[in-house]
Amino acid sequence: MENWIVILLYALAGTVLGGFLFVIPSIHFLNFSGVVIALWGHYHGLFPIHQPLTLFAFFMGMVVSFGIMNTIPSMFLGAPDESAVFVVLPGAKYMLQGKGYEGAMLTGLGGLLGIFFLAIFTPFFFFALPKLHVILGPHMHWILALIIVYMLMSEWPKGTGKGDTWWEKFKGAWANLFAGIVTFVLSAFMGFIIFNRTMVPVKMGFQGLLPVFVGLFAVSSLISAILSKQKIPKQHVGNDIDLDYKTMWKGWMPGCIGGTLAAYLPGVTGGIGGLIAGHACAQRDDRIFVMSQGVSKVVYYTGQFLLFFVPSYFFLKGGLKRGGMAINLSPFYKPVLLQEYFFIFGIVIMAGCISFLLLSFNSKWIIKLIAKVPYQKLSYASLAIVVVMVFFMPAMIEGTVNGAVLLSGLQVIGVMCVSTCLGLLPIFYHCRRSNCMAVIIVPICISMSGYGPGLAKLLGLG
Amino acid sequence: MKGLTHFMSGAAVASFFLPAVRMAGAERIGGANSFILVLGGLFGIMPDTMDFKMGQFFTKAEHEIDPDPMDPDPQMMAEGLGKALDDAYEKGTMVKAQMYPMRMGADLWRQYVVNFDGETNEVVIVINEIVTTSQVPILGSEPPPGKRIGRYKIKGEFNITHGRPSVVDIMSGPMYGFKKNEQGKMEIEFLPWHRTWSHSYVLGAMLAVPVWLIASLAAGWSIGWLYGVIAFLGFSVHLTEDLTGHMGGSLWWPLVKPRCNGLNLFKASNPHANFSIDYTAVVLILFNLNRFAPEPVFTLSTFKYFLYALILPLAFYFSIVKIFGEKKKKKKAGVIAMEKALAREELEYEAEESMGGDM
Amino acid sequence: MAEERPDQESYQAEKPFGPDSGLEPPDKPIDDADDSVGINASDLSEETLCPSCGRFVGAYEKCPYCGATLHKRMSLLIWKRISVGGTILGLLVMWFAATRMTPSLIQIGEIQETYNNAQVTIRGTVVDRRLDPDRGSISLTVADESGSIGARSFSALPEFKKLGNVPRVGDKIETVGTIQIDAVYGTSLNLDLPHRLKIEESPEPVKTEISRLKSADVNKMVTVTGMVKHPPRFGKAVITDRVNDLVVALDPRNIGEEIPVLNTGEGVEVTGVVISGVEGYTIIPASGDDIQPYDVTISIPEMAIKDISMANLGDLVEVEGTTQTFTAFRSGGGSVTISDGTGRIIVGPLFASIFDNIPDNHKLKVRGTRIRVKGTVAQFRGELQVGPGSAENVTIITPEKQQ
Repeated sequence: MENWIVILLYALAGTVLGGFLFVIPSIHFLNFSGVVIALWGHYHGLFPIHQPLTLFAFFMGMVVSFGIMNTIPSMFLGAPDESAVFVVLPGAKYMLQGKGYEGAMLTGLGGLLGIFFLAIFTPFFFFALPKLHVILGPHMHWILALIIVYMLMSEWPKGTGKGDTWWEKFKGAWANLFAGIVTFVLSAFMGFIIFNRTMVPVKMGFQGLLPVFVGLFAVSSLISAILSKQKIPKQHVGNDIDLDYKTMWKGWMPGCIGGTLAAYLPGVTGGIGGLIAGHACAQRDDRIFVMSQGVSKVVYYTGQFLLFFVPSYFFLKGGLKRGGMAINLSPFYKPVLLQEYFFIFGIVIMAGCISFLLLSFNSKWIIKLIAKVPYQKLSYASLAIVVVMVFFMPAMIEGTVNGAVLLSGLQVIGVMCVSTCLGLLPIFYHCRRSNCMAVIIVPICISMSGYGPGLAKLLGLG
Repeated sequence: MKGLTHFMSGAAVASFFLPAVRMAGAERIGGANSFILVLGGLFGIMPDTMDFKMGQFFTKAEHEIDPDPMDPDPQMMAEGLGKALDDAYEKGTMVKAQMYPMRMGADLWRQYVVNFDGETNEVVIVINEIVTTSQVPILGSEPPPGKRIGRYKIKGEFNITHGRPSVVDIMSGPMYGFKKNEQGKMEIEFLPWHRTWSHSYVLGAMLAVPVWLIASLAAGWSIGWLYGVIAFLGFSVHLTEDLTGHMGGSLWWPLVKPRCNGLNLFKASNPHANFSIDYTAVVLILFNLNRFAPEPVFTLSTFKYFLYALILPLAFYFSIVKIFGEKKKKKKAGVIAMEKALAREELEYEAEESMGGDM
Repeated sequence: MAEERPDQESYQAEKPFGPDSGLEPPDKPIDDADDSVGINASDLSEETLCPSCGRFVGAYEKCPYCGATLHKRMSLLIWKRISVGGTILGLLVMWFAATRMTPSLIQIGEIQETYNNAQVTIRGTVVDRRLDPDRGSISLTVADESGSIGARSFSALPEFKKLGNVPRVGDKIETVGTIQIDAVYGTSLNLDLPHRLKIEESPEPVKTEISRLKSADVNKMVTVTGMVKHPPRFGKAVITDRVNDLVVALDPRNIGEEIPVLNTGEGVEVTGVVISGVEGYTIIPASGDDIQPYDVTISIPEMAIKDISMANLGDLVEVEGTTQTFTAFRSGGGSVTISDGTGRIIVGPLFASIFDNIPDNHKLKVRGTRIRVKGTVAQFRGELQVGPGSAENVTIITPEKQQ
């Protein structure tokens, strides 16, 4: 492999850039990859054409750093208050208890363990997974359907059961369940529209889901953070973590299971994988959950992208493409050599270790920042960045700013607004936000089952 | 067993049917693939769904104990529960009592412990500290000694089958069913509405009938029966798995209504039991998908497959658990706090007695 | 795109008496108690307390204790209503727009990587077609002025047949599909909506000559006549008008299994779409019926071996001579050197597939066997040779005494 030093430098650049960029709430590596690819279309010198692996190394560095670094915005910059949430999430709880730094480092440690898991799992990627894929491939649609059914069935009434009549009790309990089902159905409907019609400009087709996801998760989270009146207590920065080896193992296992499920199954994300793994392992302890999140995120994001580097000759029916990053980059190059896999894995290890160190550094200055600046203001700034990025995405791809492009930007913002409203439903009505993932999992399931064209025709989208 | 375990078990049972697997995986030219295997999972989780999402709301308790979170009165609570017991004792029929949690904030709950003391035949309520939703107590938040413990002596005697104290803190409180047994002693049923009519093989068969009919109308009579069978088997697997726990179920409702006891092999929430059953379900599903595939990928013998894929990994897992797992059962924090409070009360009582004796 | 932010979703504090609890709350050592936060009723936000009874009510709009109606903070209430109304209205508008919109019509040549997963309309001529009834797949190559693209569906062929929508080579179509771009498989269009493929026109072919074919004829239907120069092999044949050659694509996945028999020297009329490639022009017929026998007046000259030179490379000639030597190939078949008294020339390559079909082929290994060969003049390592291309072009005239 020629000029591996150049490739390594790109990987380092991606890691460090990601290390600081993903501290901003709601910036996702897939959003950013769209920006970079759009810029590369106009500035070809950004990545050497004759060395396509530089592009992949850069983004792998970003993916790994995102998996570890996005703990910071979710933990420090999004505290819910009494009126906005029913159940305070474990990561936020750490912060509300003044242990935010410890929580962040616990997640980071989980990330490192996730990389360790990927290292152990590499032979599985090469030998067992391809065979498993042949067995499971024709059954993917009902496996996804199982997940969908479980997601819906496993949400339980949150009410305390108070009420004079059975109807009052029933209504009180079913409010959040009903909201969950409604969110799911509406998300599925939206996903079906998006998958059957390109609601963004054609040239932006590779980022067709960008406004949907930004609205569903990023903008809605930011709005929720802005509306929150929670005051963040003083944070303590310690030198050690409340963790023992048994707890570490208990956090590692569900994280690995959840992350692997999410990395392999199309449409299933880290949150859904974590839900299933958490139920399978049936452990309760905030430390276990926080740690398993860290493991799950890195295994999911990194593992998905890493699967793309498994040489296709290991697979009996072609290679495996999972996740937005692999899809976005597949038009440019397909790694084929085993050597490339191991090189990229080396980058994963390097990026993971650097990101862990950056996590500690960034957590400290973020703690200082939020002590001085109300995080609502930070949320406003993030909201502005995200909205501007989405609005100008067509312009970045086109390479120019004119009336037509700005109109396209409005079109994209319009889609984002609808998905924002949808993303706010689970926040305000206290149901699971993972119900919003129906936007991709349901259309994929229906498409794989063969009912897609029929349903599209029924809805007038054929 | 946890919901996921029942769900996976139901899907695993469905995978044993060759026509179902072929229908699910067939890449029929121009056709669509079936979701029949999902039916097993859906019906696997159905009994608990019916209970917790519907049944519990239709059960009215004759007595409701809803303490004031700002000023909890343990004596009032104990009396409320005790009166329900007396009611059942006098009437000779089942009387239900619903306990409610005390919510103090979005993430704050007042914890209390309900204990049925078989020695003194008393209902004992101990109010503990305020806890967060993850049940972490906030030290120093317990009520003053005078407002900590409540007792009520019942008219009858307890026949304790549910020996452990119940800690009530987050989300919801338990419902108890009290009834007098043939020996005249008071028995306590925990969540009397749970695993009754919903956990019946007869009901499972009844629910499978509409599935069979709908499937037959949609897919044809020659294959519709399979949907009904899978639905019934998924439902039945749930009931059978529940027999491993303490509570059992009303397996032959409406023919036999009372709930039978389970085999008490392990707790339903036992993480190792749940994990091993989930893992077994996955192994079984893979086994069936492979052997029913047009071209099986692996051709190991059944024995070798289960040895390498199931027995050895589980043996390894349980040996890790045995070596590194919890050596003895830990008491719950709430129960420990209750015991401390009761012990303190005992000491204070003895101190008063001794002071009175001196005087 | 951003993915779900809270991976923490997997955690939900479950009801202690819920279905997954085993009916009893879990253990939590009291030593882990957090005493960093003191509790006081006044610490609770006023909006979260019922104004009537003072109990905590959180996000309820009606107090579950005393039934009082609660006035929520304006911002939250508005946002709740916006989220519900905005979702429903927004989705309805999106749906309405989606059902009305037509995917953009684009030129094939403008497709680049950022178009991946975009649904578009393309218009062009079908220049190639492959059908697999067993698998139900259909694969077309559609070309317009700016380029060409593969359009395929792995399972929709029965649907296309049911709709009567299976285009033939040469048809002008307009279709909607989703662009898929992959570094390995290239750019293609996913034909996921069979009913959106419209056959706009099945143009009449223009009669022309092989030597008059030009770039303006590419992607157009033409009819040409010529003589078979190379009979069908590996899905292709070559016809000629003695001036230029034209490759005829005979893929059974396009025209079916009934490929007409074409022998060297026979006249044919071929109707099909012309495409341009590395081999020059190629004509792709739509079916076997588009290849018909034709009486052409192109004759193959009979030449003395001495008259054949490098200037004749590519020409169709007929020579007659006696076998001199035979060189066997390791994989079967071989080449034979013949002489007509004026000179020597190699007849070959006679691959096993050709050699095995020559009647009495063993006589070719015998010196002195008289043979007549029709074939194309070529050269191999500086030596001229005549390649018959098929067994029918080699005729053994009289057997001679054995060597």
